[in-house]
Order: sequence, then C-alpha cells, then structure tokens
Amino acid sequence: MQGRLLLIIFGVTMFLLAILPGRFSAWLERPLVALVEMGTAPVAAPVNWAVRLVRRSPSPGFGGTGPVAEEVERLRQDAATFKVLYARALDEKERLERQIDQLNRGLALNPALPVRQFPAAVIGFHADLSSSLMKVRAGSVQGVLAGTVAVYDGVNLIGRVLDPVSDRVSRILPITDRQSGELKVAIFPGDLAPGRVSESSAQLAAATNPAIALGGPSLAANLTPRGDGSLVGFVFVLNERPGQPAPVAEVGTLVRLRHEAAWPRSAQMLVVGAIERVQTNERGRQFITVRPLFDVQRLSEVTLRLSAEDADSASPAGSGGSSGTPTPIRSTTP
Amino acid sequence: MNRLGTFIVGYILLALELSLRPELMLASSGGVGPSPLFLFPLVVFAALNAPLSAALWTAGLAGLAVDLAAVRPAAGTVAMATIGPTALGYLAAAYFVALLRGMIIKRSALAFGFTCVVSAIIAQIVAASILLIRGLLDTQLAPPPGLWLRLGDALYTALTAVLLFYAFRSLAAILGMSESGHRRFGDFPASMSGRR
Repeated sequence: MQGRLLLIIFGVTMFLLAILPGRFSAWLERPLVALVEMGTAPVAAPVNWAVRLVRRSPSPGFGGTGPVAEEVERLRQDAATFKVLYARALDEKERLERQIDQLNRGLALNPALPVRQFPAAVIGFHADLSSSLMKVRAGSVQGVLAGTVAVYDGVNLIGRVLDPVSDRVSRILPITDRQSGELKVAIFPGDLAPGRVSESSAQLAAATNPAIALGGPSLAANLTPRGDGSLVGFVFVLNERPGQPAPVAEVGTLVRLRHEAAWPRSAQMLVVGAIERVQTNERGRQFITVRPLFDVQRLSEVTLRLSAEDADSASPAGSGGSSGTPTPIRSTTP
Repeated sequence: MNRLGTFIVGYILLALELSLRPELMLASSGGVGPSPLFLFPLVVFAALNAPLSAALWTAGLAGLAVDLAAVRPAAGTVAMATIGPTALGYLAAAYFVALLRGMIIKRSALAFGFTCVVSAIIAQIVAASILLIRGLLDTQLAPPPGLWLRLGDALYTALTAVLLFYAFRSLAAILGMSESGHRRFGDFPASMSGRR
C-alpha cells in the first residue's frame, strides 16, 4: 500500500513538473541535469570517441593523402583564413567610418578586442534529438560564457553557447537549429566554397581576384533556419552601383555572418555555409538555401572563441558559477 | 529484482542512448529523423519479468533520467530540460506491459520486439501529449518533436529491442529478473506489495 502511495506521489510530482513553466522548476532541474550529464559522460564519451573515430570528421578539401594533399589542405585553410581577415578588414573599415561619424556626434569609440580560443571536444548530443544542441567538454573553468561563439576549422561558424554554462560542460545551439533565430549574412560574388568553380564568367574573373570580389557590390540576406540543417532567405543587393549589373547569388558561393546586433564583432564575417540552391520568384528576387560546409552532427571537436567584449558583457564567474580562473589555450586572430 | 544490477545496466544503456542515437538516426545530413531507444527495452523487460512495483519504479526513474538528458533550447538563449513527460510515458507503458504480461511469450525475441514497439508508441503518445500541454503554457520552450517522429522512434526501437533481448537474457541473473515467474493478469495487489 505504501509502495502504491509513493508511486502515485511520484506520478503526480512528475506531472506537475512537466507542466510547470521552466522558471518554477529550474532550481530542481539544473542540478539534476548536471548530475545526469556528469554521470553518463564516462561511458558516453568513449563511445562517442569510438564512433567518431570510425566516422572521421568531414573535410571540404580535395581528398587524397600524402604530402601534396596535406600542403593543398594547409593552403586551403590559409586561403579561408585570409579571406575572413580581408572581409573583416573591409567590414571594420566601414564600421570605423560609421563610428567616426558617430564620434563626431559625441559617441565614444570601442577599442579593438582580441579573441581567445578554446578547443572543445564534442561529447554528445541530448536525448531529445528534435533539437540539435551539442554538448562540449569546456565550461566556465575554461572561461566559456553564455554567448561564446563556436567555430569549426577556424572560420566556419557553428553556433553559440547557451545559458547555463556548468564548470566543465557547455551546450552549443547550432545556427541551423530552429531556435537559433534569424541570421543576417553577407554574400560576396566570387567568394566560392573550396573546390567550387564559378559558372558565370564575370564571377569567375572575380573569383580569381578576391580583392575585387570582396570589395565590389555585395549581396545580403536574412536567413532563417529550416530545421533540416539548412537556412533559407531572400537575397538583396548592397553597394549597388548605377550602370553596373547587379550581382547575383550563385550556387557554391560562401555566405558570411554580418549581424552586429546579435553576434559579437569577433564573429562577423565567419563562414555560415555555402549556397546550395538558388530560386528566383516572379518578381525576380532570389531565394537561397544555404547549408553549412560541415554537418554539425558529425563534428568531434569545435573551437570556442571568446572575445574580451564577451567577457566584459558577462558576469565574472559566468552564469554557471565558476570556481576557477579562465585559462586561455591560445590567442589568435581571426 | 536486483536493484544495483538493473541500475548499472540502465546506466550503460542511457549512456549508449545519448551517444549512439544521433549516429543511428535515419535522416539526411543535418535533418531530424527517427532513432532507436536503448533504455526503453530495459523498462519493458522489467515490466515483463519483475514485480509490478519494482517494474513501475524502474520505468519512472528511467523516464526521469531520459527527461533530464533531453535538454532543449528555450527562447534561443537558455538550455533546459522538461522533467516528467518521458517518466510518465514510461510509467504508462510499463503498466500496459504488466497488464498483458501473462499473455506475452517471454522467451521470444520477436514477441519482445513487438511488445517494445507497442508500449513505446503508448509512451510516446503520453509524453507528446504532456509536452503539448506544456507548450501551451510555456511558449518559450522549443517545440517538442512531432508525434510522427516519436512514432518513428518507437518503430525503430524494435531493432534495438530484439538485439538487447539476448543481452538481457544473458544478464538475467545480474538483473534478478527470471523469465520463469509467469504472472497472470489480475495479480496486482500481491505484486504491488513486492511479493512474487
């Protein structure tokens, strides 16, 4: 009889907790979630490691092995990094021009801020696979904060860290998750994904000269995650010059983040993905489908990027209640 | 039922569920599709072979663990788990299996797989219904997976259930769950008090 009563109490408690809004049950849920995560990690992490060892992380490179292939891969990564630096320099120039305007009106300039990077192993996903939240082994002890940006291969934007951040584990909401919200992006004609060749002769010429491609008229879009790993949105033209034909979006072109209102400055111009499909509506507007270069669910490691800007805007110990001092692994740009 | 043995096996299955489910998901790159459950077959095995109260507690606690492992984004900035839906779903499924266990061939892997599918469908319907109510009260929480996706999970679970059945049979001594103790429909009062 006592066993039955306890079961009934358990069932009623579960039902109440299930329908109560999160703010009422967070005090109970957070320590229990941390307990389950910490408890399952010793078994889940080796299995994850073994699975990812079998299914190696994908690379958009040219394939093959040997010293030549390695050199090509290294050059590809260098090119991608320099493209980001160049695009960011152009963006920074525009931003500084705007800030000078603002300064003239009495507003202060923000100092340029360095970026700290933390490599973090992906230790799994969550039982509810309808959301693509990733669990990574890096927490407030390493200096990770809610909002910290995660990238892969140096320049490919993966997502950002959600609140709460525990001491050694944090969760990343990928940009492709429906909950991630709208993403404002820039598209530079000729800025093609690795291994892609432009179909348009004008854009092929631009592709051979990134300076022309990145400095000229560009396209922008507001992308919405569709929930199937892709993002979609209408394209519009920026820096249009009279007399010049407007650039058009092309399959294979890289799409870069330009969303200062929602993302830190250090994340601007990171690669969101490549255009997978272009459709034109009856009014002539282009509608693009963008897919990240890497499948989020196949990554074994990501890099967390924390700028001093993020650290200043967050509480000193992080929202998870850190007991340690942030330990930078290495400092780099971009 | 051996509580410690069941806890250890459940713990390993939960860890396998967290690490292998994304790999076994039937979906195109980046998409969401059905994936098999690993912990649920243990709930069904306990419901078939353990005393009713022990089986229900196993189901409730296993569901609670799955709930706590199922963290979802809320309002795009916060990660949170919803405690309860899966616990209640697993409880309902275990009760359903316990009601019918006198009529189920316990030595057949196919019968076990079929029982897992039917009871998983019940568990998923209960969990989805509760999450639907929760979604009406708390609009910030990410929408839960659709019922079709959950039913896909239930069907896919047949595969893991059949494989795990042989593992459970070989671990029957550790789990303390013997298949010999046939229970007929209607023996609940004795079972609830823990007597066999």
